Amino acid sequence: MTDVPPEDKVDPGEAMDLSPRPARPPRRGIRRWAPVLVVAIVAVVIGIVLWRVLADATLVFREVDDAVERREELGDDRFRMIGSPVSGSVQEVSLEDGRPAVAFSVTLDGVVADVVHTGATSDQFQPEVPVVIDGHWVRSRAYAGTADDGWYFASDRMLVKHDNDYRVENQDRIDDAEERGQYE
Amino acid sequence: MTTATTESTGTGDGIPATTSSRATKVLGWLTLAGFAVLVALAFAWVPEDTRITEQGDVVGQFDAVRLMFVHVPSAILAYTGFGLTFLASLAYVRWRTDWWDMMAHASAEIGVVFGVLTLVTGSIWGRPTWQTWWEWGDVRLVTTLVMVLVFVGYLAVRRIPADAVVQARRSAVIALVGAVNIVIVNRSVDWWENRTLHQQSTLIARKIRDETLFTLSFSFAVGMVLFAWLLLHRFRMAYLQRQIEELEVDEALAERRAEAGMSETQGGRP
Amino acid sequence: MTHVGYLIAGWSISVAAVLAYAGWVLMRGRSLSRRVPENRRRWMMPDD
Repeated sequence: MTDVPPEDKVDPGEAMDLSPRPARPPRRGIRRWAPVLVVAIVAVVIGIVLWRVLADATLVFREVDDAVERREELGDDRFRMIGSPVSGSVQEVSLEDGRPAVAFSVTLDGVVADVVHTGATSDQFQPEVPVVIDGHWVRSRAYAGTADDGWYFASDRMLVKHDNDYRVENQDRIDDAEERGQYE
Repeated sequence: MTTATTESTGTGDGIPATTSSRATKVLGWLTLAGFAVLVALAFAWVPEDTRITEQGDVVGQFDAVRLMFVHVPSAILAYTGFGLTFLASLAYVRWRTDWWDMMAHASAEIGVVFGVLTLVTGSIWGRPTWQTWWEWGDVRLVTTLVMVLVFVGYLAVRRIPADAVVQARRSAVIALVGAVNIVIVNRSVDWWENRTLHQQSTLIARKIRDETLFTLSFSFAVGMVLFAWLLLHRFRMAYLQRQIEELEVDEALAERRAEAGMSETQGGRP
Repeated sequence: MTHVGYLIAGWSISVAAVLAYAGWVLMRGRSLSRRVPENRRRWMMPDD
């Protein structure tokens, strides 16, 4: 313990010298500036993130019905389209240049569009699970699918927008499918 | 300055120097037991996510759905931490007491830990489910990132040397402004449905099977007990830091008094 | 079981992060407690 005399030994009538002592030397180097640096970095990162979000207009997903309605207007612009793969429409095809692709149809609100996809497909690429495909319209009947309307959507990137439904439906049919080895 | 005053206390008399108490011990054991039960429920009781379509296709997330039980509670705890920081900052602005400032600090730090975990586990869940680890421009992901960064900045601002009152006031303002984003993050999946891969709320829509709902609710309960345990310890840590600062001031004053006493004695000699 | 790698990664990172943070808070709390008289640590009780 510090050897501190009791307060009553100090003459209360005499003013104690409470003039400020020389302050401790300020912290130097990285310890002093690190928090300021972190604040600056965080501010810059937030700025970059917001700028990227605001600048990247392609991230708006056009629904199939909207994309079909605006085909002429969209021309060959790249955009993202969202729709659910039609069951039984998926088939492997070979493009004119020999590249392998997957042709399928997507639908939303009763409107169907044909798609030719050249990128990787998702593990969750399943009928009725909405996919977001990145590409552009092509006027051609070369890969006519369910829609067969003289256009197809040429995509090279596929994401999946899983819905919020975690209910079980038709458990008996799931059990049957498991027994058949349709999935493990 | 001597440190003898502060180093010798709290030990040597059988009372451990710790931030633990009976309450934290109970909460700690509850957390551990709850987590063990949660693991059992999540991996042994909850079935995989599968559905079968009218055309007979088996679809779903399969076992990846079990990531829900770490991702969703992390997000809830991050919201809780940041929300509590907002309330405590509001209370600080109103009453200007250290207690609220320490509460804001402690809860913000816990919020950041769980905010980072939300981003990491979301990314791990996103890869098999969405086919991507991260999507720039996805409003849910980016607003969550900004929310976490704002509170990382908040914690950094708290470490910038400044007068305690100035620091507390400055931090409270950042928390109050930053908290606006909590609402934006939470509502983003509804406001910008076509700008995010993130699903809308399953719980609000009640589209969840009973076993999954029970286990998810249980994970919230375990998470809240963990949060309370962390908050008590972290708050006491902040409280101890304040006590040490006060002790240092007391010691400095005592030293000055001692010096004043000595100079009086020396000055009285012939 | 499907997606085993993702499940191990997600769960183990979560547990490791919480344990690391909790451990740091406990250790730091202990270190600070030693510097503060017990009468200023109001949560302490003799039977703890």
